[in-house]
Amino acid sequence: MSIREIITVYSSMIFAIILDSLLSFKLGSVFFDTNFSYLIFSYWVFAVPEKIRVSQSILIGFLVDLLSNSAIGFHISLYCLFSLIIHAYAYTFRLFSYLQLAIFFGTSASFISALFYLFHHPLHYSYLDIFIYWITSIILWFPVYFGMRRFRQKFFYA
Amino acid sequence: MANETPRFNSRLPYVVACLFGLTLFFLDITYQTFDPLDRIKISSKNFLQSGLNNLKDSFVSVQINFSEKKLLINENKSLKEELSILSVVAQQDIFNTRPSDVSAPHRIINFDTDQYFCCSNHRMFVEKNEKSYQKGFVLNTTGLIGQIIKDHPNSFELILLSDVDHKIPIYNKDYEIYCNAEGSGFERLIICKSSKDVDKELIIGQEFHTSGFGGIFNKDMPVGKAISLIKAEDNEYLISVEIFANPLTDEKVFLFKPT
Repeated sequence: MSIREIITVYSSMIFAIILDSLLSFKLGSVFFDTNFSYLIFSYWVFAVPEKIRVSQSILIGFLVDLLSNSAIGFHISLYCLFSLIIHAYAYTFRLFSYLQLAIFFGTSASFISALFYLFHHPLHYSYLDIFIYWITSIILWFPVYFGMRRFRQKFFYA
Repeated sequence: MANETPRFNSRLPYVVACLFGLTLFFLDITYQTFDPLDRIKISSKNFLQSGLNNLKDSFVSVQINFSEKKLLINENKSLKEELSILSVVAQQDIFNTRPSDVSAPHRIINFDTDQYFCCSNHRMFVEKNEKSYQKGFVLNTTGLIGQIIKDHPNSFELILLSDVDHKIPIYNKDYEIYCNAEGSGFERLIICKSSKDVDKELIIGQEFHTSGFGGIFNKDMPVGKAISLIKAEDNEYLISVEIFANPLTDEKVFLFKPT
């Protein structure tokens, strides 16, 4: 990866982590949370699989671990796992519709959130919250996908 | 130019990377191996926040210096500070507390409200000032909120009563219930485990105060009131106590030396 590509990818990841910390709030008994960091990471793996391989997955996972409140290694292992899945089915994903992509990436984002609560804060593990993460992640995939595509076309290949 | 076609080579590096990540995760969860890294992160975050606050203060003081009412503003500020200390002491009914045992208000520099609402770690970081105690309890204008747990280079880490790792010895005068109430991990809620057989109807609404054991909290400080009672296994009763104080109301807190 060139310096420009590295800056583009990592700045988008830092932006995603900041968004995650800003866009979470409590409404009644439900806690709304987002997982922009995973959605943007998976977008990069999906869009440029030849650039984001195992070493980049480890580094991005470490960055997310360091800047978020999770234990070191949590995002590294999950990001590598999903990077492997996205790479393995790279050709299949090209045939998917936008909705199918949203369902796959939204489900995997909520899976990561669910594991986060299960390991870090088991007292706060709630099926209602997980369901809301799932719906939110599916909806958020669309702006992430189109926004990041525009961002990639403007800065990544410039 | 068209994108390069993705070529998937081998699963082995990914499997090794996953195992590497899991090992780090296990080490961190079980042995807190990366705690020094966490401390560096906290210190640098607090340092940055504190610097920003100081910068903001210096802008305000420059404005005051140009004002004709400079003396009046400064006097008003110091009187307000003294009054807030006195009101906190009076409100809490801490008869044994001398003004020398109370520090000037400490500004909150970092309080992760996401963690407070979603998770079990209820911690707060406050600035140090000239008169700081390394051990003691913490109040804001609404009441008792927690205690000092760690001394960082530029801040104090406070653990709130509702943090899962926190315990506070409390009692109820009328029914003579004594317990070490544990933080529930939920906002403004602690759990008191008692083996004393009490009637649910009677205990709900009863006030709990600090019992003074443990050497951190003074005796008879109001903590909260019982809101529910559940009979657990092995003949124990779980009394949920709603904390009176709300840590979200104030920008400043008061540190008290235990007497």
